[in-house]
Amino acid sequence: MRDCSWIPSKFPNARPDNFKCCSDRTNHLPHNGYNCIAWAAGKTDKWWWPVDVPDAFWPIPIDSKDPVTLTAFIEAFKTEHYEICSDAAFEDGYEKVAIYVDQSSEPTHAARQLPSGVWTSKMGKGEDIEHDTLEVIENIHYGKPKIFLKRPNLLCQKQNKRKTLFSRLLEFLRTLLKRFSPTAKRNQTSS
Amino acid sequence: MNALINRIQQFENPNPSFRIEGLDFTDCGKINLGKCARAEYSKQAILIAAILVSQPNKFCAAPMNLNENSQIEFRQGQIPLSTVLPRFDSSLFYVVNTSKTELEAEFNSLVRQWREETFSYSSLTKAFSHPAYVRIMAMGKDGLEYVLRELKTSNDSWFYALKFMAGKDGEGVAEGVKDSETAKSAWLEWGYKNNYI
Repeated sequence: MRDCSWIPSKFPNARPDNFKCCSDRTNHLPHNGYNCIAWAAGKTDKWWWPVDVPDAFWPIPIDSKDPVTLTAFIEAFKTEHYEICSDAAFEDGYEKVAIYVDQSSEPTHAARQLPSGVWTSKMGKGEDIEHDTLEVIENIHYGKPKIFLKRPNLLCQKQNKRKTLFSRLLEFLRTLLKRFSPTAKRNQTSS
Repeated sequence: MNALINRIQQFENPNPSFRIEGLDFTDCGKINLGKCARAEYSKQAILIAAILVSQPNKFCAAPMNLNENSQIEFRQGQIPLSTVLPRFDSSLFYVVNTSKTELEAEFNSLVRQWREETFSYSSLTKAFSHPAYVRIMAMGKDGLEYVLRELKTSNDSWFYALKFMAGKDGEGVAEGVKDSETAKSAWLEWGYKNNYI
């Protein structure tokens, strides 16, 4: 089922013109599918959260005394090759993640930046959405974005590599064409 | 029942010494839980549970079946999340003194509320400390059959509540299991063997 009409009622900054619904909700799937943290890390098979229950996954050992801290989330994203960066500004060739914290500085949510510059979020058990800015999904439960991380966008880099190879090949073909074209031959004979 | 809960919730920010429904938490100011929370029970009830909330998302609870004049004591071993609470700064007391049908109706209503209000949460910590989930946990063993039914039919996260509600009887069930389907089977088998299903 895909119906994001519930979002503006829970997120006061969300309006039909600043977010769009991009997937079906996942509450019919075992352990509700995946959550925002998994989605931000590029995974869709587990519910990432630092709590010791069988329907949750956490990529690093959980600190039993103080499990839900920013440090725990930063370390978890480091396993996916993310590093802390200063802000949410778009950087070509990089994929950024913003971690939201509530008023008690406890992590609540993560959003990932797409190559277009907009952000993508999995809304709990609900749908994936694309939102223009990080502010769109600020609310009392999600809080505000606090920490930003980035990693090289591998897909982007591969595409750039492919682009470079293709343009080199094109250039080579153009040179050949120039050299062996009838006009070039005529010029050579006249000289 | 709701009136009782409302009355009980008036004590969410208790002063150091107070009395409610025969419970005396006079010595509950500081936290050696083994000593601090002792209650004299003087009225008949099926189940009584007290949840002490020290910080958001870190709470402890001790559901137990009581007979008249029995005494309950909160022990560190009964605390699922945090073994040491820095101070006793708020509390929620939940007394179940109701028929099975009423309990089931209340359980269903709490599940609906919990689903609706935590639908957008990624945080399981927040979902588990939502008042509706906490109240379900406070039902203790009397609520187990309903939680096991939910576990069987829904995809919601009930393992945390089960571990807490089953207490010592459920020790070792699905211990160390990381796969939710295996854990689900283990809990349902335990429920069947112990006549909760």
